[in-house]
Amino acid sequence: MVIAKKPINNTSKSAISNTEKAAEAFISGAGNVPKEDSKKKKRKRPFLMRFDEEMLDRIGKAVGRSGNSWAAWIRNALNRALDEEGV
Amino acid sequence: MILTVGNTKGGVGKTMLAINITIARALRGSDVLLIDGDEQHTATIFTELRNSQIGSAGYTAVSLHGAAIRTQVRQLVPKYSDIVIDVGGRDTGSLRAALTVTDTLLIPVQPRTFDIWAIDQVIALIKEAREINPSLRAVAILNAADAQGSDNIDAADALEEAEGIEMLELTIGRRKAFPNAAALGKAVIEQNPKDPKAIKEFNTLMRFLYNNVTI
Repeated sequence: MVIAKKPINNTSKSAISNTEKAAEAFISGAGNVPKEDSKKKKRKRPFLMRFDEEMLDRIGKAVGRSGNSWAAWIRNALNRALDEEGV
Repeated sequence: MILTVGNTKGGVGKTMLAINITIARALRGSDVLLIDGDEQHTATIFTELRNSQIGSAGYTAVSLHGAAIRTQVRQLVPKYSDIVIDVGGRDTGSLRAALTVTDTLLIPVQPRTFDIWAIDQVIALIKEAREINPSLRAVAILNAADAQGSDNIDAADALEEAEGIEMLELTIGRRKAFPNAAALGKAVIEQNPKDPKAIKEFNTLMRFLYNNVTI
């Protein structure tokens, strides 16, 4: 019977690139997910405003046609208006 | 393309999507490698079932875990036209290893409160993974969604706020056609009688992922 020596890991520590070291550290960090800093997070802020029924109906129709949600449609419309204003 | 189907939340339909995507690519003539990085080995067991039912799965499936996913994928990339990795259910070394080598992470999310809460953990992981894999693309899709009700819209709204993740307008409905087909070792597009809605939704997802068709 021939007994083979256990292969030596040829990748010396110094030969491992920084990316590999980072990947190794990332993979071995499983279960330790970094928590997102809620202060840094750009959460949308609720903003209450009133609409008359007629305008709500018109928005509802446009929202239905677009396939977007109400919030997404209104945000898009406001973005377009702000872009036009150059704000 | 290397596609990872993953989420730190379990029970969101990762394996179901991964096997359907794998088969759809194989049926289009791609040489596909399916990597089962889930400790439950569901994709591997499904492949065994498919082999016994159909004769040949039409793709290669291997079970890999932890850092081996990164090492093996990098070696196997030249040999396959498509690699699909099924990982997650929680924050594992396999999920992390997949994120360091994948082109696209597809994140199935069920329109349920706990699923939406769990997305913050995925965002944090993606952010860290991009330091190693800067071109990592992350796409979230509402999966197993109910046909009616405001939950889908509410969930989509909540996910729109998720930084670093593209939210697909497409929704995959909760349809029996997927588990029914899987029970026979098939993908939803192979199952008879066909479920046109399920096939349409799935094909739209495939066009987005592999043909750059915007949704």
